[in-house]
Amino acid sequence: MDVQLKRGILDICVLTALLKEPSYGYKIIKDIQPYMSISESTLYPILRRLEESNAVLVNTQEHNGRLRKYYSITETGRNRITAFLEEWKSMMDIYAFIEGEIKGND
Amino acid sequence: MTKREFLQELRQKLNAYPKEEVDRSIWYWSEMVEDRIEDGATEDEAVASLGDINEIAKQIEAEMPLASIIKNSGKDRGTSEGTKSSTGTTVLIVILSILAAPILFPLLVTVLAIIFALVITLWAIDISIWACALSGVACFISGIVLSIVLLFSGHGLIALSTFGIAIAGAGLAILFGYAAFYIAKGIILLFKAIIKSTKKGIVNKKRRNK
Repeated sequence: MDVQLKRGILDICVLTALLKEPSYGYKIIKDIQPYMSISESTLYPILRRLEESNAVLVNTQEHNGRLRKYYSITETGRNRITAFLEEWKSMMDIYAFIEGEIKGND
Repeated sequence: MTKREFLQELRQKLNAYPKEEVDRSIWYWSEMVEDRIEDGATEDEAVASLGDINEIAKQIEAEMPLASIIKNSGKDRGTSEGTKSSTGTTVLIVILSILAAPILFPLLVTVLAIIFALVITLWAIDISIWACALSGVACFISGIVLSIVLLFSGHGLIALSTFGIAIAGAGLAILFGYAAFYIAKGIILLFKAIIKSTKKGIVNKKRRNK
C-alpha cells in the first residue's frame, strides 16, 4: 500500500480504537493489529501527530504502581473519522467508475 | 537484554537530540515493555519483541520534528547555563547595536531623507501643474473680460481673437486640472501602498520571529 495512504488510514485506525474508551499504546496496537500491521515504532509518531493536531488528549494515570499514558479522542478526532468516511465514499465511486470502464473495454 | 539496558542504550543512541524529545521516546518505549510484561512476556522476551534497537533509534530520529529540535536546542542551552546565556546574548545585541549605530543611524536618516525628497518632488510637480491649470483659468477670465471691453470699444476683430485665446486658456485649464487631479490621486495611492507594504513587512517579520 502507498506509504502516504497507509499513514492517513493508520491515523484513522488509531482514532477509531479510541472511540469506545480511552486507551493506551500497547492496547491500541493490539486492537488495530488484526486489521492492519502496525508496530510500536509506527504508532509513536502517529500518536504524537494526533496529539499535536488536538485529535487526541493525553492523560497520565497510575496503573499497577507505574504511570501509563491514556489517549482519549476529542471532537476534532471524531470529525476526522467522519471526514475520512465521507472521503472514502467518494473514493468508492471513483473505484466503481474505473472498474466499470475496465470491464467495459474487455 | 533487560528493560533498563534497553532504555539506557536507546538514550545513548539519541544522545545528540533534545532532552525533552528523548525523554518522551524513552517514556513511550518503557511503557511498551511494561505492558508486554504485564501481558505475560518475560522481560527478555518483551525487549526482544520490540525489534532491533538501532532500527528503533533510527525511526525516532527520522520522525523527530525539526521544529522541536530547533526550539529545544535553544531551551536546553538556556536551562543548562541558567539565564546567563540569555543575558549574554542581550548584552551582545546591545553592544552590536551600539557599534552598528554609526552606520545604521546615517542609513536611517538617508532613507527618511529620500522619502521626504520623494514627497516634496512629487507634490512640487503636482503643484506646478495645478499652477498651470490656475493660469489657464486666469487667462480665460481675463481674456473674456478683455474681449468684452474691446468689443464695446469697437475693436471687434481683436476682441474675437482675444476671445479665442480665452477659450484656449480654458481648454488648457481643464487639461491641466485633470492632469493635476489624477497625479494627486496617484501620489496618495502610492504612499498608501508604501505604508501598507511597510506594515506587511513588519507583521511578517514579527510572525517569522515568533
